[in-house]
Amino acid sequence: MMNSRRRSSRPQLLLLGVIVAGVGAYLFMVTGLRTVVRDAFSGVLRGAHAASAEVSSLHLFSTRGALTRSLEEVSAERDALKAKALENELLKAENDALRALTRLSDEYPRGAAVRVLSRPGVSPYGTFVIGVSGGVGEGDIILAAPGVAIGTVVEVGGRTALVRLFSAPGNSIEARLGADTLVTYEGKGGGNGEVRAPRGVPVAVGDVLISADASYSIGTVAVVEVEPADAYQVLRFGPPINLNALTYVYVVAARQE
Amino acid sequence: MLLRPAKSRVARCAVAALAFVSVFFAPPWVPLLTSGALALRFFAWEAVATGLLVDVLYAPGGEYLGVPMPATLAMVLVVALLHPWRKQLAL
Repeated sequence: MMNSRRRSSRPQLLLLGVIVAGVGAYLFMVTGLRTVVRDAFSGVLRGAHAASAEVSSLHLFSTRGALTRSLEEVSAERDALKAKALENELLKAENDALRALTRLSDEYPRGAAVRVLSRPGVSPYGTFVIGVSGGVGEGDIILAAPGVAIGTVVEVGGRTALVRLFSAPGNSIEARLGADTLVTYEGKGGGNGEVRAPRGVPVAVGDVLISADASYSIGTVAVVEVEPADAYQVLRFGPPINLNALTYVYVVAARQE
Repeated sequence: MLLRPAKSRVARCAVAALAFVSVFFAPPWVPLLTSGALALRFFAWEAVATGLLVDVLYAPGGEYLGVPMPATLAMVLVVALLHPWRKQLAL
């Protein structure tokens, strides 16, 4: 009897607890308390990021360690070259097609290097946490390599800031294809994005998508899909570099228009 | 009863700890899977707490603020979907 009463009241109490947790979650979402919590967890995030990097470098779960190591080295080298190629492509695109733009800077800023505290692959929201020590504001641009932008700062706390990737699901930004084609880049998650451009615009795989103010490259065209009945062509973009291997990123102050 | 109460408690703690820790370094499907496993067997407030932690750490606020999906999903899973199922099986 007593046991059955306990059984029936327990779920109700827990349900109440869940509702209280829900209200708490709502308060967390609308107030600045989240940045306080994020700051409090900054040490844990840093430790977890360092530990996961260390564990993956030990190849504990690999039966073919040497092969994996060499593959990773090649992959890292490829990523570095890719970033370099993107930077070069940006310079080329600037020289070839964007000379007429008045706002084109002769030298794009490199930004200040900050530590990445959580891998972008960990978050379901297409975000990651960086460590900051002041001087970072909302809307600042995050570069994975000089000239290669990957996202913007959306929340700033005392010791941490939250970065939202351009490729975050549901995110969309204005971008430029070539000299004068303004398009909308839509994030699809996992470092991937998509652009719907008019069919008349000549685009090839490897072309660079640059920010609307022509300061940074956002990615290169990986796939071009054209349906005969469609007035648009769909351009798919992959991650510009391996986002999960990031340990440092550059923060560049948002331009004051 | 699949496990004796003491063993069941240990298993619950272990899976909850794994779910909680995985929020910091594992892909999102790991906390989801571990929380789901917990909710399958228990009325697991730990699953909701794990979802909340994901939201607090990673959900963008301000103009990007949306529904806190992991916490909502955990609540739906724990309260609405799996609780009647557990009651049915008298777990």
